[in-house]
Amino acid sequence: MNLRLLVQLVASVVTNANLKGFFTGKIYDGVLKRGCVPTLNCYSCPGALFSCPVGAAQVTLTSGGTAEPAGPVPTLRERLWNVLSGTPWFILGFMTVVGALAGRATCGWLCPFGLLQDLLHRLPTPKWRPPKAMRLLKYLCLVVLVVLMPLFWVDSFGYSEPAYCKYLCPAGTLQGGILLPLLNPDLRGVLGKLFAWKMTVLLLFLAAMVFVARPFCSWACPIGAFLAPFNRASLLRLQVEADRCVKCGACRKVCVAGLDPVTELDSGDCVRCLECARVCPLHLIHAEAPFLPAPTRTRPDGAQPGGAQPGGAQPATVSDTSAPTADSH
Amino acid sequence: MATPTPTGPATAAHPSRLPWAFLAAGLALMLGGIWLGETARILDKATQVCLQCIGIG
Ligand code: SF4
Ligand code: SF4
Repeated sequence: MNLRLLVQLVASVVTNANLKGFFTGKIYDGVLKRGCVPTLNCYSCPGALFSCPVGAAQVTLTSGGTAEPAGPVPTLRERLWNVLSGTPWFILGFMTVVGALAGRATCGWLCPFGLLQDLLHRLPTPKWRPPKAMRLLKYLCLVVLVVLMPLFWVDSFGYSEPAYCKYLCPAGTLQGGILLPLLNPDLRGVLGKLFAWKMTVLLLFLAAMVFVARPFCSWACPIGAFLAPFNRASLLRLQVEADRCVKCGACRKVCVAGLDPVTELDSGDCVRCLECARVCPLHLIHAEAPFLPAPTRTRPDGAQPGGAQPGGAQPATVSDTSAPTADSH
Repeated sequence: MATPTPTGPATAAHPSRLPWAFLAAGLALMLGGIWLGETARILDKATQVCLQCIGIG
């Protein structure tokens, strides 16, 4: 089995290891939920052990701070405290640490929703590469649905809601929205138009995953949008020796993000899966970081740069482009 | 093996101190968030079913 697939599977299971929740329909309420994962994993999934950074950030923003006003008009000190305590510093810091270490590598290696997209995209159907401009949509999702609406879109009672979770997030629908009502008759009774909308969004994304490489990551994930700039400013770095490239196209065929690695490696849309490095017959794509040992830096399957494969096998030749678990575009 | 020759914008070098600065800033923000009680509030919310997440409202 491909090492990355194994890591993705293990990460998905560990993130959702509250197995008894899948039978009882109750979500985990232990101390681990104080922390979050660097991936999209709904904390209302019966199996989820940790919080979702997107949900947690919105909840902090909607809370508007923790100061209890002493009088009818909040004092300056109270207002200042509310701004301070109503900003998701912990989540921002956590995601910044993740970005500084590895950029979007968590998308390529750890995210359960990324795994789902990779698996569905393996189905043998014609593939489509949508216009690149659509990738900008994820930044709009981050700014409007995750930040601005929870902050400013308040109802007549002065309350706001986590708009991204409510109107868009298909991971919430898949992990919590389907399972919890299935396991709890009380919840089934109150499903309405909003649920129908969220199911439609989920089904549209699931269908798109078959034909388009990682559509959700490219167009709609706020985590991907937040981590994207860190691909240019993280300790982990990917490099391609473009001047030695023979344009065999092997890397483009397997790129899980639908990119051309020769020109777009480590761009904001690269999820650093290293599938391109795995299949490059000349081993021209490398990963480097201070925390990676030099001899195994460059190949996810453990082969050495430009040299022998594990077990002493010779590297693939230029014409050998069939090895990968490729999906064709 | 020859040293990889980074070419094009996709492989432009970044100042090597930048990731370390982000790392330090991120850790400081995390500590600030814990001090302000953010993780306790996350726990409060995350231990109840989020009705918005599951599409109830
Ligand atoms: S961009 Fe994709 S892989 Fe990354 S957190 Fe979002 S859903 Fe997961
Ligand atoms: S460019 Fe390479 S590392 Fe980046 S997403 Fe595509 S295959 Fe993965």
